[in-house]
Amino acid sequence: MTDMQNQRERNDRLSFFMDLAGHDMMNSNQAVLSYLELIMAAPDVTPKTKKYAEKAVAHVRSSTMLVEDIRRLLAARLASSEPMKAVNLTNSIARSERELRAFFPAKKIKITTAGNLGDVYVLGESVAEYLILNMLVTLVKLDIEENVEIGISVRETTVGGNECWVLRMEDQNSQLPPGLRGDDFDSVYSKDSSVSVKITGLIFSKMIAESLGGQFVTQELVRQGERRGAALIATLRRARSP
Amino acid sequence: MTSVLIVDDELFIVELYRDILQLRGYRVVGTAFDGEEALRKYTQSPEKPDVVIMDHRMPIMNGVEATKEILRMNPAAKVIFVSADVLVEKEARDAGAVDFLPKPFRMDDLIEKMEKISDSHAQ
Repeated sequence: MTDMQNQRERNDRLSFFMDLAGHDMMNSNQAVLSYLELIMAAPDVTPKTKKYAEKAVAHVRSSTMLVEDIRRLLAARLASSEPMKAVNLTNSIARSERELRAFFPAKKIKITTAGNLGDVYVLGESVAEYLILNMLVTLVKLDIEENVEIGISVRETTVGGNECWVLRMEDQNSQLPPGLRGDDFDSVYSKDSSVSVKITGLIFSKMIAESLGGQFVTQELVRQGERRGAALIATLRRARSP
Repeated sequence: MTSVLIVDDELFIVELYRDILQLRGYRVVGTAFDGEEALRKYTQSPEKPDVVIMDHRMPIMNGVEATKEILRMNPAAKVIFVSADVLVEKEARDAGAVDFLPKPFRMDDLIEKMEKISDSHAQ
């Protein structure tokens, strides 16, 4: 057996195991989420208990997302040799917005787009759509306020001769971990685990964007010399409408 | 009262759906732990359930195959697919599932979909 065959077999086994583990974890999360729903809906529940349950829901959703991150990355990696299909990011944003509110029931989330985005077709189908949700969730997690406002805009660009869409999401209360600049997440990730745990979502967003032939960077927003939030920016390959 | 058949290979999931759906006023007419058992129970049941809640990854026969078989038997059957495998959504819909929910989902979302089916029955 060649080294390449060995590697492929190891990848297949890893993928198989991750898939099984992910599947079981989703089932467990389903049970936890549903019982929390029961607690929240109980007639004698106190506001404080309800608040705790709402926070627990956000954590269940987070753990779900981490599992899904790994499964999606593996799927993107295994499918990298197949031609990618198109998805309209405008629809993905609308769907992700609904999911985001279910993700963080204790927060009030408002998303505004810069005008009518129109049709924004990119390559990557469900993986690209998942990236949108991942970016939104990451931005909300970096925002400690209960009222969250996210602004979304898109613009066209060309990268390496490829037509692309640049998707920018910004939140004036999100705080990037100290020391994180642009797209240099890898060094922060390996240096300090207390920081790295806060940027898992960013790392995954970058890996997913790159697996789709795109890019992902962060930007710290500064106004009058003070840190005023963060922007997450994904550049994705443009696709023709299907 | 809307009747339901629950199909999932995990006992704790079946119990969870059953408890919550009964609390919310639904009538659970049967449970099955694989696609083949679901098919058998569906066939033998004198009163067909209004809704089948169907998992995908199960031993003996998976959810997509079971959905196809149930719909072959009764094209009016309403199957709501619920699965931790998000990538199986297209296959499930192609098999005839009326809706799809990725696990973990809010029970309110499942109930909303079931109410939609009840409303369409009533009209």
